[in-house]
Amino acid sequence: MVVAGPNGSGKSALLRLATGLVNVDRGRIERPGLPAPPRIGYAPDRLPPQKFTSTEYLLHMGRIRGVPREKLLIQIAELHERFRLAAGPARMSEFSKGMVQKVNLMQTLLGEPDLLLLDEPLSGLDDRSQRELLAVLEEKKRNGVAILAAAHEPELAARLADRCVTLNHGELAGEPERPRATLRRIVCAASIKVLEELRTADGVERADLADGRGSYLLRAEAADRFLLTALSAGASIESVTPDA
Amino acid sequence: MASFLALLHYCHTGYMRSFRYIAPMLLYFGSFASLYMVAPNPVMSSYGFTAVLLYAVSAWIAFGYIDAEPEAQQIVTALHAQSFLKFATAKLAYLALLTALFAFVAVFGPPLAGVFERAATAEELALALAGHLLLSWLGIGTGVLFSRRLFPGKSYKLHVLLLVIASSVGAEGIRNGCPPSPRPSSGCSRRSAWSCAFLSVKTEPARRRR
Repeated sequence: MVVAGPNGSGKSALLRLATGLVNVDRGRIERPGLPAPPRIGYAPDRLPPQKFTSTEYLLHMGRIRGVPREKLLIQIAELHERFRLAAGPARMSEFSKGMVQKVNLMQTLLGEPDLLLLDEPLSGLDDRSQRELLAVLEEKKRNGVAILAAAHEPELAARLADRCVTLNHGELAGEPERPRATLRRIVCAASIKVLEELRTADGVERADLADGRGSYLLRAEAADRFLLTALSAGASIESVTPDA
Repeated sequence: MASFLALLHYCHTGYMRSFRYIAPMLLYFGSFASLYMVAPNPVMSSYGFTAVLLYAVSAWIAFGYIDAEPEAQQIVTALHAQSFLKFATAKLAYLALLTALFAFVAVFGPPLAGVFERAATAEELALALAGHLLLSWLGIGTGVLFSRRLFPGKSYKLHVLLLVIASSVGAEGIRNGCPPSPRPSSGCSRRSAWSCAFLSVKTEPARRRR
């Protein structure tokens, strides 16, 4: 879910409330009865820079979460590589805003979170890092991780959200339609094996397979790559249409 | 348990790198050194002085430490710990361990340095250690009482804390400096029994002086 709204509308407050660690001034919070409390990864709007290197900081946070040290070191190295952040001796207090934001997002992914609460996750990131983050979040979403993000950027809603809500002065102002123009429906015919393989292709959000045909709903920017993959796997393309 | 130890390690590393401990530590060990500079010293009254000093220093350390971590980071850390109670307990445990170190130095340092007028007995050492630890916990409690969460958004809270510390440390002097309270009549009513008891305790030193 993506929460949109102007500055001061209460997006960050909503996310802090969702952590369960902040009390409400008025009203009440209803919590569903879950067998176990969800493991939450929370990225605040601005992570205060700490007097730790990025590796030290992530190591502390991961150890506090209870992740074994060896496993954690591997995950931290992978995260540094994925977010293209050099794991050097510089402390976070010397980092640029974008670098701190990368560490902020990296710490949410430590361990195996069930729920990600992300406050303006794309803020401060360059284009390439934004694309990389969106890919990571899509992967997490596919693996069943719930995501609640406050964001201004339409890309986040277009690529990630099943539901968008708008807040205004702390009130739910409406639930706008998700920007559908960014989706494509591709119908193709192929063997069941090929159709099943295409189901897991990058950018596919939904796939309906029946009678040797597959109908795939996917992001517009992933359509060309999907078509190439499908054709080279021997599929026959029947139609490509903007999603209605 | 591993997670709790990791929290303690994080608390310690963060606090050491903040350098917020330097000023209270200098006050504590500076006063400690000036007290024992001239030897020999009486045993229990010296311990009394360092215990009261530890109360004030513990309150200062706790006040500076408890909100040293910005609020957003506190939420992040508590979520990684998966319990705010565990996170808060770790912070208090860290403060207790840190001030216990000060207490151990204050209790066992002077006998080892040979600055007392006589050897302290085991009972005196035990009593002194218990007194130092209890007063350090009281100091931690006082400092934490003025944290952002319990005393939100008040710019004058440092002044109130200083007033609380000063009035705690100087309670005996303040009480002795106050004019004697009127002696309660012997037949006080049931309704004022509590106030009679309070007055009789308060007037005790004044009557003793006379």
